[in-house]
Amino acid sequence: MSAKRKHRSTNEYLRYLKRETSNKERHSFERDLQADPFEMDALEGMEQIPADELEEDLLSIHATLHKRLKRRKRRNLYYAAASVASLLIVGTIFLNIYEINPKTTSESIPKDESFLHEDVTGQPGEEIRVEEPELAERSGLEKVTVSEKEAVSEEVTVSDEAADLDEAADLDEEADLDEEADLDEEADLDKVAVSAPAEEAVREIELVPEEALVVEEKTDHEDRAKQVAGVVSDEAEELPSQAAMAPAVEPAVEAEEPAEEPAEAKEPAEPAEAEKREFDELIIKEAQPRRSQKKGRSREAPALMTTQRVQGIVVSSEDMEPLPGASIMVKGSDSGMVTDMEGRFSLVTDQQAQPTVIASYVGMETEEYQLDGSRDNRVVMKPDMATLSEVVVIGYDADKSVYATGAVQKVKLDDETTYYKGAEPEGGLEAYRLYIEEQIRYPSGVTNRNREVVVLKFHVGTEGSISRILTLRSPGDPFTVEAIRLLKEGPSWNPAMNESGPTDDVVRMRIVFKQE
Amino acid sequence: MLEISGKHPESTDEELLQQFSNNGSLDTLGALYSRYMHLVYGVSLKYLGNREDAKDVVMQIFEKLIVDLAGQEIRNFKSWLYVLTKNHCLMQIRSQKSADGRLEGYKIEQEFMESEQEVHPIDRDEQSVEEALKYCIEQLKSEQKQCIELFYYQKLCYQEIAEKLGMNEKKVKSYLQNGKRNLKICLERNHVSKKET
Repeated sequence: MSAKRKHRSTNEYLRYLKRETSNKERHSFERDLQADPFEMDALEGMEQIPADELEEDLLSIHATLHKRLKRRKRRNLYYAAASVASLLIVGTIFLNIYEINPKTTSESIPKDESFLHEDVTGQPGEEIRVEEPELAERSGLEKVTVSEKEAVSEEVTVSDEAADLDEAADLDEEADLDEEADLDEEADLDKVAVSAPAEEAVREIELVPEEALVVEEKTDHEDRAKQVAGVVSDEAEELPSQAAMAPAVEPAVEAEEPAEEPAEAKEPAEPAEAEKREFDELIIKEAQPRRSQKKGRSREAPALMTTQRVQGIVVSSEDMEPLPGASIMVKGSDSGMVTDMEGRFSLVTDQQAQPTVIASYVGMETEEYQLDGSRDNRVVMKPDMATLSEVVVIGYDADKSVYATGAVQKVKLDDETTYYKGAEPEGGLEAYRLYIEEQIRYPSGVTNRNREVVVLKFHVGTEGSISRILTLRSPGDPFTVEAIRLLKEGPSWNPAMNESGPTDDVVRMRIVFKQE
Repeated sequence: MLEISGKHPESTDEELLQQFSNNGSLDTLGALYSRYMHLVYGVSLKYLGNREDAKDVVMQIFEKLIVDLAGQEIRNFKSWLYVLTKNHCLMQIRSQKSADGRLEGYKIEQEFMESEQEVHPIDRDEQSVEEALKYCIEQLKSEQKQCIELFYYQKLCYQEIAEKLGMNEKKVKSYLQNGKRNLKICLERNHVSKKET
């Protein structure tokens, strides 16, 4: 039955409410509505607000629906693409790990040996010694650069994907891998650094294989970028046995400690050394955006650049909880990063001992912090009271039994019909709501919740006077005071009306404090 | 003026529903929903009394439809949507704890609405009811009788009736509503019993 009846369109409602229809049309509209409680209810709701506001809202909901339909389509596509991409990437990473792992241990050893032999044979000429490592380094570094780029791009995509898909587990894993990779790198780099003084101290012949070995190993490490720490230690253990003939081993093993001791060996750099330095710097630059830690470089180019790594954690002063996603910039540079899930950061700076970082976070004060340059920096951020904007929305609530928004007819079940209209603020509810929105002030520093509700109950007399204000609900005195201020300073109220004229009324008002 | 035209102006609700259950296309559902969106908005506005909340509900209901319509056979989409909307609004009010007093008011109203759900005899246009109807109208109180006659028989609109009787439109509506309820009671006593025999 009602399915057959045609429903009244949005336009018909608007024309009716704007009184653009003839009486005949009005009747047929009303007649249709009488037959359908849905439409009756809807009209009753629509009558509560002015027709132009209604039109605005109806337009807006149609626009929202339209947007919704569009977005859904795009999102579906995006999901499909994202899942395919992430599958591919995860696949490649696993392949990489499994393919390279066996190689590194088996391949690097023979290579080292071959180098060793070669060098022993080629030892007599000094030129050969110089060129050999240089070549090895070059090829190694080139590899590094390429593989690093790949690694970086992979990582970026993975983390994007992971973030999108909310795969926290992935993130964690990634973080772990990163850390391990970092450790690896660090160990390697230290070795590289230390191998240099060894170079001076020990006979030239031994240095050659050792250098080559280290570079080789480094290449492998960087290539993988995600290696398990165990393998490193294995290889590190292999090192001494390998270079047993080379006394240079000792410094290499001791390389656990950052080789930051000033360079005792500042002998004039050979051309090959100079070149090497350039390459090293290249790596540093390359590595910076990746937050990989190239530590221990300091002694290699003291005059040109001093880099060091700073690590730390960002916490909130309120609860000392870590702040993930806070951004940390080294002052006076363009290097910076965002803290990880545990609020940790780790970045490279070319500044001297105590770098200053600028930490910023939504809702926190952007401030500069002096770091002491070591590992366990603690950046404590304070909440920013000033920028907490007072975007306020008020929920207007009323007790139906005594008061309802808009005009209400109360129908008694006997034949008597009573007209009743609750007390209303002058200018209507919408205007009142606007007034509250404009005037409400969120008491500062009282609570860290961003939504609080105060419920007031008060009496509106026959002259519209407000009295007997009761607080039914409030999170605290500052809120109560503010709510009462709003009520008292606000527009005056019109008394409730029934058939015999103005009457007393009790109004319950709900004020929602919100801040963003 | 508002220009909103559905994509499928000629299809019935049932056809669109069928189409949606076949292809799951949101466009189809959107076309169907946009027919009633203003009603959902109006009802939400009535219950929640807040424009922003009402707008939110319109979109929430749409999201709900996407989920709820799957695997459901709906014979009358419009009245199903009405119940869905009302329930959604009531749930919303319920979740705002402070609205207890207000909720009670609506509970009563809902029961009342549900009994009203069935189309009133006077809106049915059935010949067999005519006589009983005439009899019952005579029994009504004068204002209710006047309003019903003017509205249903002389086909005047609320505004005209209000002018004619010197009362406001809201009163006209409430007389009509009460008159109809009384008529229904009267008809059920006289006519339905006749029908059953």
